[in-house]
Amino acid sequence: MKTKIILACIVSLLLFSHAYAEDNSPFSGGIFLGGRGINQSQKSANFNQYNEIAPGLFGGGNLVYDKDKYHFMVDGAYLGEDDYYVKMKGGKWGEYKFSLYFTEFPHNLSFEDRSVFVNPGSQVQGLGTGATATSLRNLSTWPSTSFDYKYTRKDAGGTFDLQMIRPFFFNVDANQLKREGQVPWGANSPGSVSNTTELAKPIDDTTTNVNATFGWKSKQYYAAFSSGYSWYTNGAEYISFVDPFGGGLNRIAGAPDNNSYYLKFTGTAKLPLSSTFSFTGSFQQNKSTTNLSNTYVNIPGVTTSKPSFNGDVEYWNVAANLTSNPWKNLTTKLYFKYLDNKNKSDTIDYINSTTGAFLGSNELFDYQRTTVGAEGAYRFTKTLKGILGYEFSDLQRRSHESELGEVHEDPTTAEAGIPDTWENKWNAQLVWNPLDWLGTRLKYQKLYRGATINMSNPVNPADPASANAVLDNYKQDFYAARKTQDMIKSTLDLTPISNLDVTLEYAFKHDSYDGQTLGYYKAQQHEFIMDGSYDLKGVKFFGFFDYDTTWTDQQTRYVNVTSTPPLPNASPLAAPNQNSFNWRSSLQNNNYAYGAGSSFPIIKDKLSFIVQYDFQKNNGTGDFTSQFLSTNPNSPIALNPNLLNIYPWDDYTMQSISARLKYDVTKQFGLMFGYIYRQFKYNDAQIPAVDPNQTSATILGYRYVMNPAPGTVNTLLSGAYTDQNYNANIFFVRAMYKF
Amino acid sequence: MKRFFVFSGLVELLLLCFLLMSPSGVLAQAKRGGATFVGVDACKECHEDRFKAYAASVHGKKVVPDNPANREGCESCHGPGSLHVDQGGGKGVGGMITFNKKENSDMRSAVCLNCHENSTQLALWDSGVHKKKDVSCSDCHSIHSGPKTATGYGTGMAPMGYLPGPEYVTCGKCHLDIKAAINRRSHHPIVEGRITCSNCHQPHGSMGPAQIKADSVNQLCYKCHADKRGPYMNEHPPVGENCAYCHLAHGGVHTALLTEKVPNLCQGCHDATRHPGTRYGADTMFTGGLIGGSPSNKAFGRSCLNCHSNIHGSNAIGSPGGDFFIR
Repeated sequence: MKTKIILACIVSLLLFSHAYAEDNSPFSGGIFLGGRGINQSQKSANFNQYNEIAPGLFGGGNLVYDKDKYHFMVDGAYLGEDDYYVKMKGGKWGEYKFSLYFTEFPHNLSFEDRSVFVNPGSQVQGLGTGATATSLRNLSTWPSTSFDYKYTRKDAGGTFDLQMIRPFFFNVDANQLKREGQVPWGANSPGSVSNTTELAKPIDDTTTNVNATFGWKSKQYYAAFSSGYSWYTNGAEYISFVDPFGGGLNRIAGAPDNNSYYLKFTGTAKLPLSSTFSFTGSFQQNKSTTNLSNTYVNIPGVTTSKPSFNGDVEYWNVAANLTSNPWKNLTTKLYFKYLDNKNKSDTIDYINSTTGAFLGSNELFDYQRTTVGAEGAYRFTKTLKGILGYEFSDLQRRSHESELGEVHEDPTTAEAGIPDTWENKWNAQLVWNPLDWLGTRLKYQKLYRGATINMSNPVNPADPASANAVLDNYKQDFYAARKTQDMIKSTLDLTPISNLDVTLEYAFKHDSYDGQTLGYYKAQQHEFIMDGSYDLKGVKFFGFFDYDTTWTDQQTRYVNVTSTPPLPNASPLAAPNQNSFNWRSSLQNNNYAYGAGSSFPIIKDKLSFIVQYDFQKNNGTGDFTSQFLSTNPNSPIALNPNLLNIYPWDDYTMQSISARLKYDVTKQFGLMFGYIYRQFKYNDAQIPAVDPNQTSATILGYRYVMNPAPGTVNTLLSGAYTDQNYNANIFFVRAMYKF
Repeated sequence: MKRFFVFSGLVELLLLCFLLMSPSGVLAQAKRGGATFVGVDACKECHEDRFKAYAASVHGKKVVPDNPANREGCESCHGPGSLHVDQGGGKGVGGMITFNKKENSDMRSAVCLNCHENSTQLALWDSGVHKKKDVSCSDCHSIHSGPKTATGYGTGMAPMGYLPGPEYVTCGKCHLDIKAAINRRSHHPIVEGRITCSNCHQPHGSMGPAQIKADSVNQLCYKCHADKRGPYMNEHPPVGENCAYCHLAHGGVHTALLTEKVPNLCQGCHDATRHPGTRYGADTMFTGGLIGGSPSNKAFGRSCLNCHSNIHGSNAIGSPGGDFFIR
């Protein structure tokens, strides 16, 4: 089928090109037809993460029509394959233009995975006859059919732009994105929350967006009114599955159907003194409705205060800025932004259906962010420019939950664990181009983030029941924690000789989470990049190098709530024991990449060659230090501290070689012969290679069935992401014809 | 009190700017020195390749109103060429505008804005970062390279707007760190040509953060990831605030473009009794038993997501259930 589609399109274009093969023809374009062969060491989703590169024929082409005031172009490739695209655009110069597109591509996550369920990827997943967690310890009892974790994205859309009504303008765009497939999903057992099963959750949803803008534009003023509507429908919102650990039929509640609309005004005005004032104001509302009885199968003894949940979140946004050029060499900018996220969704109480007692409720969050800033840039000389900037940002967070139907909202003070934050950010930049062939840029930025920390009521840290409240007093969420950040970026642009461009860049960032006792307390990043290209009379060379190292330090306190001595103490300042102790982790990633290539003619205007090599490597580690080393709080056995460290932590190596020989037989007809080698190796402690023996006695690597103790099982996995590695050799030949 | 001083300082700065404002001319025009127009035929004699590219481009079409083809042709942009011709040619000779990077960026942009200032795409150019950073139209757009269509291996959608190559190559010339990021293991499909930089960013100026095409990061992400839009009954607070707290937009080394690996990312906020505060070192991974440890399903595989899969929000009731994002 695929071959027929390709050949049909090619023949059509060939006939078309022959019919209009004249010098003054309004038609032009090209077609290509090729074939590829692939030799791959093992099937890997990583090889085709967003593609469907497969052996066989491939083709495509484009057709352009350009006559008088009308123009039209259609371009498409890989028709009949799962990663094709077709795009059309055209219009009448000065009056209107339009575009249409259809594209499809996969997102491949993992291939040849297994499932304990007989119908993975469906909305109702059941077990085989007589299957239990005990019998499923034997992998041979699992359904033999394997499946892939992947989903396809199909996107179709278009735009229309009306220009003939100048100075007014109107444009509209719309698209529909459809996704189908399945992704890995973890679901724990309601009977014993430590038991969990990995299953294939179906994806079947559609997002449709429509936007329209109407406005007026002149050299001095601009005003645009925009509106849009988006709706999302989920054809697989609820998934039922039979819990292998004996919990009966269970349900997963997925993303709800939802819709969103917005109204927006944007305007600019050029003012005297070379100033421009820009303003935008918008309102957006996101809504959803969920019938709560559909979200569960059986939760005994619990009812809800309302039968359905209505989600309603509003965004109010206002932003303005004023840019000026008050002096010949001075430019300034003042700006203001305000974003108010209002959560007007339902609060739902959970009520004991027997006693009527209040069991809890959902908690809703919203926030307001205010930002003001100023920048000034001054050109000292023709080659030297300085920029200074300051920005203040204030984020007020609110949470509200219902207690017995009363909405409790605390808008003025932050509750423990949800701090308000504010940021002061200063930056200074120098741009200096002292020589014709040398340019430099240096930027320094300092950020200070403060946070209001409201402590919980004083509690006895030695009381196990108060442990979480005590921990909250020492813990700041990293995105809302007090922080000081220093950032430096320097760039050197060199053009020492004609056609040789080299850029060197260094960036440094250091985060210090001030006064942090639990959570992140320090993070740092260094990145060094070199990028260059050289053109020597048609012979081109290019190369790059990138080294990026990051590390994050954090401290956590382990607290085992028990009444068995030694009693835990949740305070991180307290002495450690086997039921409460501090531990630290330092997570580091060293990533470096380099590549080089060249393209050069062998015979001028006839034969040319392109070759390129790329390499990338990442080494990740997790270093741990701990006040207490036993993994079992009840056992005094201490581990070797050096063995806690994790060394393969998202370690990978990627490399590719590509070589292409292009032969222009005539000005219209050409051939390309190509070879590509790609390799990917991945090593990670969380997703190691699959243990072929699948027994706890050998413990070589990843196992589908995991058991905390002999004779038991608490985890049933599906093999997601275990197929990362591959070696692939790709050969292709392509013929191209232009008319 | 501190905030009051900050605000008053800003007000004072604003007043200072207005007080010190004086007329000035921003658009420095190249001095012509008495040069006159010579016509496209003269340009074509020496610059035939450039002329052909111009003639094939939309700028060379007489049917388009107010086009260079209906005015002075090449000299509409490069300036009158009589002195250039008289002096025998050469780069910049005779006061020609070469659009070389060494020329003043505002001057180069002014040439394009002379015609394109009415374009709605450029409505917020003055507010944008690129203008502030002295990036000019010709730094990204190359009129003479002509429009290209993508009919090659893995190049994806056809480039637009006279960019000399796929968009990410053009943007990556300056944004080297982003170019490195999109090539890392976990990335948006930018190098595969499935999405482009301009799907999310407005390079000509925008009032959103990082020149994105939305008022906030989340509102942009929801355009393609509407399943995360909710609103959800049980919310995960950082999710609704900013996707970028946990995810890298361009690419990274961890699965799902996460900023840190799970469980470390989660433990950056969560420390509580039972397992959130547990140390998940090598002793808890698949091979943990070899070193006297005990593998834990909170550590191996997808770690926290082995149970807490609905991490962006949940409408399931019950506790633990939707409130812990396990249903």
